[in-house]
Amino acid sequence: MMEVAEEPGLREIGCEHSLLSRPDGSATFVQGDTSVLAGVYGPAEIKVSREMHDKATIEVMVRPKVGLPAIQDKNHEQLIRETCESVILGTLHPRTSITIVLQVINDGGSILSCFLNAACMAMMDAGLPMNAMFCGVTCALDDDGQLIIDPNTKDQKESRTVLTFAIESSEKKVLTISSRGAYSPAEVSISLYQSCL
Amino acid sequence: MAAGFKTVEPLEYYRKFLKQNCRPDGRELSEFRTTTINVGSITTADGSALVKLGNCTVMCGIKAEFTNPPIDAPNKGYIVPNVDLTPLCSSRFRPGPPGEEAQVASQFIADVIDNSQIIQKEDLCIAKGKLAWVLHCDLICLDYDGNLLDACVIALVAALRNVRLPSVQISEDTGLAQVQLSSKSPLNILKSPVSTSFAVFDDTYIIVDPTDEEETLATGLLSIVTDEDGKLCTMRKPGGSALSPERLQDCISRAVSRHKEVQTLLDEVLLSVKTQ
Amino acid sequence: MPGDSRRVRGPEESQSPLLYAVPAQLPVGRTGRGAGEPRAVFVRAGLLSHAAGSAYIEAGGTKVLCAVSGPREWGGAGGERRGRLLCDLRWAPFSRAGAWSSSAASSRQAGLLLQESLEASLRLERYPRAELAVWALVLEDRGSALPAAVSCASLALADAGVEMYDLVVGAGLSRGAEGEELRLDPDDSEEEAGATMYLSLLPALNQVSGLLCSGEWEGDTSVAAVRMCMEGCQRLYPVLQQSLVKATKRKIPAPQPQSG
Repeated sequence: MMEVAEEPGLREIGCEHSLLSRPDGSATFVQGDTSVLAGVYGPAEIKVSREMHDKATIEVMVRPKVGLPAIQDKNHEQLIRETCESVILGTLHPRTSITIVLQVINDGGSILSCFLNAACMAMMDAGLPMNAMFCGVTCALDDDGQLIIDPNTKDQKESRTVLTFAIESSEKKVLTISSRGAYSPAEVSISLYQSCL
Repeated sequence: MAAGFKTVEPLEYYRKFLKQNCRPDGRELSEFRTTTINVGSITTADGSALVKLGNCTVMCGIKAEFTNPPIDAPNKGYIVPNVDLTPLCSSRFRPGPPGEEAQVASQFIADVIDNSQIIQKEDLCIAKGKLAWVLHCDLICLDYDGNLLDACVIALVAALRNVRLPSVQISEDTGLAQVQLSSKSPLNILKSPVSTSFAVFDDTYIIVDPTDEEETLATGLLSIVTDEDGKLCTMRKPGGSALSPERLQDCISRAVSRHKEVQTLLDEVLLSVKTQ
Repeated sequence: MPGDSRRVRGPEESQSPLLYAVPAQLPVGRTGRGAGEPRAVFVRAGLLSHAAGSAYIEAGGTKVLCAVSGPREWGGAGGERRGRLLCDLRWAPFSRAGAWSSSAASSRQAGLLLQESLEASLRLERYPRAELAVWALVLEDRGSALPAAVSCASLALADAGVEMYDLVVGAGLSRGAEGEELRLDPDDSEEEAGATMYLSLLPALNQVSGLLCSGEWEGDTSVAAVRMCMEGCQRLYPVLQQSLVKATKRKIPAPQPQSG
């Protein structure tokens, strides 16, 4: 069953665990119209050429709704992979591979944060050892400096700046930042502060 | 002795230096490598620049060509950046289509161009809906030694400021373009973004301008792009060590001061080329 | 490149503005230097930090950079006793005067000549089951890029300390369509004009290791052309040697005077 939560100022958030039978862990994450399906395979066997002797090799694949992955998807893949690497205790599973597949079901804005949340939920479902959880937050700033958290596609287009953060749960520190548009340093701290709430 | 220690325990070797607030190559933690800029060395390109950060070398060549404007924006032109990491610059890259790092770097440069509004894409339109310029910006790494993104951004801005486009008239009789190679004009560059990259060691030490070795040993990387008004254009932190908002602010202030250094250098170099 | 999802999307097609330019009057014949006179050369070896060996050659406007990696293990066919040489010669997208060409165009024929010219000079039997790779990049092509790449690649191999019989030096030559005059080290406009010849020489042994001709050549002129190319190679040889000595001196620290 899908868990649904409503927070003031955010779109409806929903999450469902273990809905796929083949992967070791799976989750779907819904933020308003944006929806992502994630599957985690691993720790599993790995090709000798790619194995690392002291930790697990983590691989992230982003599948767009239609067509082949473009370079923007590659960019997302790298951001998500590095984020996951910093929380997964990979040293517990050396010489294995952990594969995370993220399928876009619908992109209605804030896609990167939805990717991050879905990946985190699926990793939990797979029972991977992690030292913290993380959550992705996207916020948009419009011309007057008004902050919108979890913007939809329309808000994103009209806004001057879109920032995405990944924040880890234990100490509320920033793991990942990605941004679009110009903004002042002060606005970053405001956005960060708001995102942490 | 020292060389053996470095090979066996590279991380411990670095920690010993970092404890003394310096690095194996003699730099302080917040010190950049020597930055060298050379513009206009490639005469077959419409604009070019060679940038060196210590050993890290990136060449940017820009070629301008005619094309049809995009259908959804008939008054705009194109800027197409592409970062090439060939086996020439480091043995870690394989020949063939661009790998993940090259794709990520290309996307980063494209983001910087879009976010900072270096030039108005409307300026690249020659005749609305009919003819526009496309600027092919090819960034080729010649020697890979860490901090690729900073070098790429400087090379891109220097090359764009070096571009001279021939004047074009649309003939009224034939509707075809006529190009005057004798009269050339520079692009209208509105902003000059500068990128500053940091590496985090053991969640505590933050160093700027990491070398290849430092990048592989570091636990986190961060790139901040600023423009001359002290505004941030792009921030990119792909995972790694978590940073508190306060440390992030420190990095941002270092990025703003770095922008001034690079800006002064760029202005000097471009002025010296003009007066030659 | 349209359809390539691994690059930033640009327009489907574009044309060089030179196609619409009023053609400038090309000067007929060569000015400033004689027919048998090569352009000024700048050579430097050992300039890249990570490559096993590297070299850079600038001849007139032509700029070529070359790096060597290896020898490293190559898990090829077991019976192979000799090492393998891999050559990759590319032109940067902005290197030619004409149109922009997407994604570092590579020419098979040029790469093959490079490989065959170099193979003759190397003692590949000393590197069983190993692979040596040569990566050459033409940054700017103002004519005679191929012979420059041959000299540059050979110098990079020498800088990497690969065992060889001799350096390989390349020279180019062109013959105008109307005039029968032979011109050594042609620039890009002269190269287009008519027949061309590229020759690689091992100067100390006085052996030719590679020859590539295009266009019409007759018996007498081709012999004269080969001779002219060989002379051009011999002129370049000492320059390459000097830069190699300099690079080696840089690598070896100067002997410290005994103190005390």
